[in-house]
Amino acid sequence: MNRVFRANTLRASGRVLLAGDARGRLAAMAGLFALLMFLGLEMAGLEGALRASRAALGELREIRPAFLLERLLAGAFAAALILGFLGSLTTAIGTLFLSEELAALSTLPFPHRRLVLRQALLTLVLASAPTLLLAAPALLVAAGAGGRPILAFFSGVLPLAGVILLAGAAGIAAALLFVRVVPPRRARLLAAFLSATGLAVALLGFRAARPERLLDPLEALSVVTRLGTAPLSPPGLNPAAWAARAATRGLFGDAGGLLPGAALFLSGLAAFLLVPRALWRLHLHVFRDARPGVARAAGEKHRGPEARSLATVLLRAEAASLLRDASTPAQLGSLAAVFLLDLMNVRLLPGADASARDLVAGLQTGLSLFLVSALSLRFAYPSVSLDGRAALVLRALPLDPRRQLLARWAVRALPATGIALALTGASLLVLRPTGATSAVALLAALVGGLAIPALHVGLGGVFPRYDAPNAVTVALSTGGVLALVFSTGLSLLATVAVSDDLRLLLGALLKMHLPAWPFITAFLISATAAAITPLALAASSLTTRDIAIG
Amino acid sequence: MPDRPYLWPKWTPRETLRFVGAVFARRGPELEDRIDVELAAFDLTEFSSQRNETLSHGTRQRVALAQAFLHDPDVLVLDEPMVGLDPLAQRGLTERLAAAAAAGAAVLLTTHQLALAEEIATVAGLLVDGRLVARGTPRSLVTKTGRTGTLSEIFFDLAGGTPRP
Repeated sequence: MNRVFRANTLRASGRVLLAGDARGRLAAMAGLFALLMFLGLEMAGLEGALRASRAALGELREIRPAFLLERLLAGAFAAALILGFLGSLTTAIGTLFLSEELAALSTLPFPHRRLVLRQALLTLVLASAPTLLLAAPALLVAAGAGGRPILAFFSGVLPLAGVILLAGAAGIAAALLFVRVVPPRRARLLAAFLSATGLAVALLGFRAARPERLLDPLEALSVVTRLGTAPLSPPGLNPAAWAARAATRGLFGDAGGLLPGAALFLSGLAAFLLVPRALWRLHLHVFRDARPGVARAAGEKHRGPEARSLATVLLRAEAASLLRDASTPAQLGSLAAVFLLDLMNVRLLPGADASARDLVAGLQTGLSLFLVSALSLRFAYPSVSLDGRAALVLRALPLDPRRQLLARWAVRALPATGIALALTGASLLVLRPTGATSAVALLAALVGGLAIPALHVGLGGVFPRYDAPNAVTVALSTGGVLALVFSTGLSLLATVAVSDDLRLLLGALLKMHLPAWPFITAFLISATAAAITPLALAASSLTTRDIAIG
Repeated sequence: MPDRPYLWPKWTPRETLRFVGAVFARRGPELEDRIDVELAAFDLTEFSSQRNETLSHGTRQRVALAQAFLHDPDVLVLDEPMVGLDPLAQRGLTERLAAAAAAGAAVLLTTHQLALAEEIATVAGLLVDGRLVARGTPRSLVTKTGRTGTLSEIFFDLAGGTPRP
């Protein structure tokens, strides 16, 4: 773009930080502070880990630190490559085909090849930001730890940049080819689902490798010795392995590591520049055909089910809105992975000690309800705010807001309760605690599964954010944090109500006898109040609140 | 100009016009003076330092129109330019379009407002499902089957004559 474009963009960024409204400034400052905190904590953690590993490796003479480091880096670069590819694929569909800015720029006299290159660069920046956020502190710590910090720094930066560029080029090329056969909006959903599935598979793979083995010192020593004494195989055509080898050599002070690192960087750069050059004509062709405005109306003959009652219509509309949310499939994929991880944990639960089984039954119940809280924060809390401008229409209709809120709750409470009961039930099947503990655990799962979505829908209605761009922004607002705090409190109360041993422990600390029934009663009363009060407040607030300031 | 013009949300109208001016190789005081002229012509002076995202629909439409006129184009392609404009702004735009055409620019606009087309167009075409089914002057349009009539007559005839709500 031209100089004026860059100057405007810079001024606009400054305006958000310096001259925006107080809430915007506070959010921007809080974001910056959180970022600096994260970087500081990561650097401190890495420094500590480095010191500890140096001390440990000093005792283990047979282990070659370079082998360990190269293996660690190979894993990290492979993760960066895969995440970079999946991230670029999803992002590129948006930046190259659904961007209103690109549509506006394409009406101005810019060469289309240049516009594609610009969007590709934008894709790369957006998709590689998480990798850079994690890698930058690690690079700084690693460079500072060696005797030749500048050499070490560039030995890490060059292969990392090479891997990011290669992943970006592959992701962008895949996005172009993907949209050639599938319309962009559907392609973005599929790509998001693919990314979430990839992430879920990675999580499950990590869990299936049983990393808890490393908590056993003997097992950990055996793993470290095996990895630290066996030399690595040649990198072949694997860019992640090349990157790891180059970075390891540089970090150990060998200037020879710069050469493969630089070669990888130049290959990545060449691939990245080649994609817009080779595919801009294809992009122009697909972009013209795929503009959302020219999409044909589908299924004109399909009338859908008839409206039998207002309640049915509301429920159907709410379910359709939830399922048609563009980010739902992707986020459900990640949450499904967490659900499966929890189920895999069940296999590792203690089997013999009755006291431990009772304690874990309580903890598993709390964990199930906490998962329901996380789900509700994403899918129930933002449900009112996502009405956006439609809130004005809904307000104008002769429709009781209580019915709207109940429909929102019902659609979300059903799966939430199912998940809570499934997780708690699976844990109970394995643990086989006493009948009373099982009954209380199932009751807590049922009541919590119904109450937590109600709490979130209600608080979401009390603190609506009609102007928020997406559900995640709504969920991360002050009201969202409040909802999560309340629902986490309910989950903790359920844990104590279920587990006799936990109450015994608590009683010993407080020096008093803690029977089950007050906790069960308190949980039931709190859950009922937490469900009904916010819903009632929301129903009243929705009829009186000025939507414009929501 | 598209029917739903995109304006960079965090930029101001003046910055938007400055960017478009620079794209068409306008620079310095000459560009700034021209921006002032267009801002005044589209009644945007008081909004010139506000962020585009805070502007109303009609004001955004006027910024997009100012953008289109800024570089004295030889060809103006406008999709539904009157949408969101108040009657005064509509009158102002009609005059600007007529002046541009008189100065030699080609103006191609699409509209659903038959009265507007009949008032300002020298050549009119009727599109049905993306196909050109009649062309001529607004007072004398000729269909492919050879029928002639005014724009309104031909339109309502082809549309079946039944007004839709």
